[in-house]
Amino acid sequence: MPLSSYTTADMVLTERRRLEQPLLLLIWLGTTTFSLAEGNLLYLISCTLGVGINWLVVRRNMEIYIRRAFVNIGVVLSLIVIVLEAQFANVLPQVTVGHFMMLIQLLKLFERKRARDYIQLLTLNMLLMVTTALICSAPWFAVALVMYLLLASYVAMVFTLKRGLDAAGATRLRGEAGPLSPRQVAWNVIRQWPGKSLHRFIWAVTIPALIVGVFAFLLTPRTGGNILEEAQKNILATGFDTSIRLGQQKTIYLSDRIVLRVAVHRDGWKSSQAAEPPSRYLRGVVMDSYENSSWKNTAGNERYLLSAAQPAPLDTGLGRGLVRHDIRSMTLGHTDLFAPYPTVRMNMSEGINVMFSRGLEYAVRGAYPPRERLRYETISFPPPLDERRRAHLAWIRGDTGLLTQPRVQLPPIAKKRVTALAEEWCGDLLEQLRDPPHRTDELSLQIAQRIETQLKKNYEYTLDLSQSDPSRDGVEDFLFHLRRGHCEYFASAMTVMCNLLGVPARVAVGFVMDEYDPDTDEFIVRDRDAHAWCEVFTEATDWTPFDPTPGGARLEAMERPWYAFIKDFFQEIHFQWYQQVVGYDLAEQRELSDRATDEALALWRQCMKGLHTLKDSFLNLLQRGVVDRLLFNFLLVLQGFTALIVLVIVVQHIRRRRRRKLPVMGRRLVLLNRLLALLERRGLIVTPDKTLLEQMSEARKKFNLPAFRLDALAHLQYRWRWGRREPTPEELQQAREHFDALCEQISAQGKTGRERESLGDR
Amino acid sequence: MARRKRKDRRTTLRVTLAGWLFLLVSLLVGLAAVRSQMPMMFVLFGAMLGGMAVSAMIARGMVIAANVHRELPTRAWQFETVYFGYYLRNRRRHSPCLGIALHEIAPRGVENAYGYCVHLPGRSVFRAGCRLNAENRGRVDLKGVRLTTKFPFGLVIVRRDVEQTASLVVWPAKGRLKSDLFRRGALEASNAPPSRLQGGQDEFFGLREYRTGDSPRWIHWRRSAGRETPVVREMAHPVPDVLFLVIDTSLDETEPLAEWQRERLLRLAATMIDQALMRGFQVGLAIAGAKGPEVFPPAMGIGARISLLDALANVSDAEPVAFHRVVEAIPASAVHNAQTFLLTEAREGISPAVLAGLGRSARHLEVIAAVDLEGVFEDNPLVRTREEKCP
Repeated sequence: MPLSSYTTADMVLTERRRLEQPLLLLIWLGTTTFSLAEGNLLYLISCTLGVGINWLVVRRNMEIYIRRAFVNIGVVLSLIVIVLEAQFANVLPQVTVGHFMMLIQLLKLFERKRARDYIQLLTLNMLLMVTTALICSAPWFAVALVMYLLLASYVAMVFTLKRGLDAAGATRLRGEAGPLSPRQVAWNVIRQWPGKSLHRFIWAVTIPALIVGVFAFLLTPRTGGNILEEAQKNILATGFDTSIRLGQQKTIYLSDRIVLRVAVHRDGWKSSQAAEPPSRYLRGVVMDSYENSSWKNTAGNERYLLSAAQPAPLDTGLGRGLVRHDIRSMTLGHTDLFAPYPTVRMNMSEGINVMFSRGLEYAVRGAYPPRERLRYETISFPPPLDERRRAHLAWIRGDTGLLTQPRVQLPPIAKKRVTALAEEWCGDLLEQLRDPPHRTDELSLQIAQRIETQLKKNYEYTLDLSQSDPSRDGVEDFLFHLRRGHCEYFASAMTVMCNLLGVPARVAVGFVMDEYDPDTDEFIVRDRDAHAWCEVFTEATDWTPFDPTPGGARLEAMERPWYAFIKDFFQEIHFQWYQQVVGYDLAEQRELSDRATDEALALWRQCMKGLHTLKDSFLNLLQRGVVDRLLFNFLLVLQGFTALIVLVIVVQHIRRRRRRKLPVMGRRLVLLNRLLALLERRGLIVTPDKTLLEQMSEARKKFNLPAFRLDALAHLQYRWRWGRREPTPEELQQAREHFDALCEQISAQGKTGRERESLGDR
Repeated sequence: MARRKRKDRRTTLRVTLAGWLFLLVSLLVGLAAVRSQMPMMFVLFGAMLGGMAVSAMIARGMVIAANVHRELPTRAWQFETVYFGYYLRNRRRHSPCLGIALHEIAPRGVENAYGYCVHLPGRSVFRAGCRLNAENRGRVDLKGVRLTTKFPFGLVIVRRDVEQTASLVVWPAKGRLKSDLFRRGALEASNAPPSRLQGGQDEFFGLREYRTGDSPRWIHWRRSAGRETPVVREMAHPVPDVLFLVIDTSLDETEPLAEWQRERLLRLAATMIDQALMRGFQVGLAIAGAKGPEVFPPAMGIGARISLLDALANVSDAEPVAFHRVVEAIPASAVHNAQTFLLTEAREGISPAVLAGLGRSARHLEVIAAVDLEGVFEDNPLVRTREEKCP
């Protein structure tokens, strides 16, 4: 076996397993991650089998391989397969490249491995992981990547050691006249596998590397927008969302995370007195344009600053019976403010500007979510609205009544079918419409109510929409095929039907207040309370909410199993991951840099301000002899700091002294320690920078001690410290004899010296 | 002190081929990250660069922490294995050093001195070593030891030169003398004058008649009793076994194999010196040194052995000294009792006057030219192997 092959390093790495086992694990991790990211079960099973067979073989200290020529033929064949796949299969190029790399790895696993084969396997696997990073950005992949980096660094370290040993062996062979046995080659290598040290280095390398990676992620310039939408295609949606898109094959999970805490106040009404507040709905956004199964807001795109100049309802004599909501946001990140309709006044803490649309949607001004949890107060009119209040709303909106006619666009066939269904449900009411007056507000409300009732009665509530067909229009699919859905489907269907029948309606998205907490006298709003409903407009009632979602069914869906919190936990991670990491784009990057700059500047200003104040305090002390509070605190901190430094210095000094007393730290034979102490007492200078053998050599010269005894003790110590086995009782007995003999000799020398001195004195 | 410390910590960092490839791949990953905007690609890009930087820092820390102490012989025979021992010590208390390689900073021939330590725990000592064949005669000046490590990933190689000057004198290779060239000098001592010294190694040789000038103390009274003229004891001082080598190291530029032949002569000389000293001869030497003729009067013992063989090892062409100057520098007292060998490349190259002068001074003079070598000397087998490889 040539020296460059693994066998040479075998006696150094103790066994082939040192390198091959982690390498196999690495290969399995890499291939599995790619297969899972791609969703390819065939490759997953093949690679697992290949790695498993190799693992068993390595465990049994055997070697399995096929001829290299067959492996090369296999590589050529796999290249052909990959070319065909690229030509005829509809897959991404990254995936094709990944397949090729996996096939090569699979083949090379059954090759007789030499150093270069290990390098090839490692390189291929790392490139495969890079390819995986190109096709996957799920949170589980991040976890897999961290594990992969840890393992890869371990393998690379072991491999580097192996290469060094191979080079050492090869160099040593050049100096020899004849061939050497492998054990002779390794005469200068370790006898103990440095597993613990390698484990330490794994962390020492990987963690800083990952920190640099995170910085690279945060600071590397982004060229395009975020890929959040792309990434969220197949993921879960939870809680409040500002967009509605029907027909997505997503399963929605409900989260128990508390989003808002709402205290409701009204003249003559307390939340504790009745479970039902004046308005259950806290609206975030409204959408009035339906197209391609999606809802958009076209009416209220323009936003206005809610300035102090806005007249308060109280000023205009509308203040009686107003409802006040004291809302505390429990999460970060929401720019939309949730408020009941119609909110006519919003009080926000200073420094935060609020914008509002003509549809009376409120939001925090600025493109980014606020850093602090928001707390705000809304003042709204309780239903029903009288004429003056409706006029006031119209005045706020700058228009009267309806801003724009809601726009509903369905495919022609779908439109025909949905209209027919709506007409079927409201046939009798529509008959009445034909008689003058053509339309009354009351009739519009009756139509809306009829549709609401029909939807509640005939359709089921579900959160599992994996059966939906994205090729169909969302409302059509819901009404005629699925016949079940969640609140967005119900609200969308009702809104579309109302609009098709000529009743202006729109979809509102926000939260429903259902959970009352008597301890705090507040309503608790959770993520699972996110809801969509329909708002119907009439001149007499303004926008009136209708909720076509079957309430009982919805509540039933909320009854969650005991393990739901685990699901919620992962769901939250998913959500945050996509929100914060995958959705991290140029805008957020800028915001982060701005924030960092602001923080640094604020800190700087604060420091400067503190210094100025301190200077004033000192001047005050000098001029008036007064120690103010700031100076006192400063001196206290200074004293504490000085005491800490002194303590550290003292501890270090003590440790150094102790270290000087102990010539070498670590495990040492007690006999040797005693001997060294004795020699030190007799005048031997024992310094920690000398090796044990050097110390023994000095002792031999100085005291004329027998070298064989000293060397025997030193070698026993070395064998024990660095060798694999503990000293045997015989060896210890022998060491004891050596020690006694040495002690006797040293003592005799001491006596002779004293005797000489005494003779000299006489 | 501080400057010395700084110098001691000076390291050189070099990116290996694998490191350059890794950097290239990292840059490609970075480009792909910017193009694809995939978050994990950015993390990978940073982690790759960070891993490389961290590995360089770790490697540097290890190389700085390792201290080395070298043990080596000061003299060695050419083509014989030399053992270099290294004590590697980790100065740090907790952090281990891994994959530390040692190289000698030395001229050609000794650069293969290589030691390797896989694992050196904190505050521990490891003995590494190497064997090597000193292939070239002469003085090898060792400047220090180079500590290198590629750990952890082999992407970056960090090295530190630890200054530890030492020199190794490589004596010309020993061969085998085919015939016994050395003669014992005791037989020729019969006509030596009586020793004036008392004691010592004088031996009784015989009796002779008293001559004027003889000390009355030497008269053998008992034998003189029955004679008319007194007889005196004649004592013989045995002539010691003395070997004196005169080596002509000048090169004939017209001869293509001159250098090779000179090396052979030097090897013969080294062999003769070694064997003669082992057999109790006093050995002297006259040779052209770097600064002029070098004459070593006959002597014996370890010191003489070292100085004579060192002189052979240090022969160079730096400042050629004429052979007649070497012969002139030989004091008559050094050779008059000695069996003298003149080793030269060709007899024709030596002027007859020089040869005659040397012959007059020496008790016995023998000239060995390069052409005679086959008859008297057999080279070291390793030399022959090497010459076969590089004719």
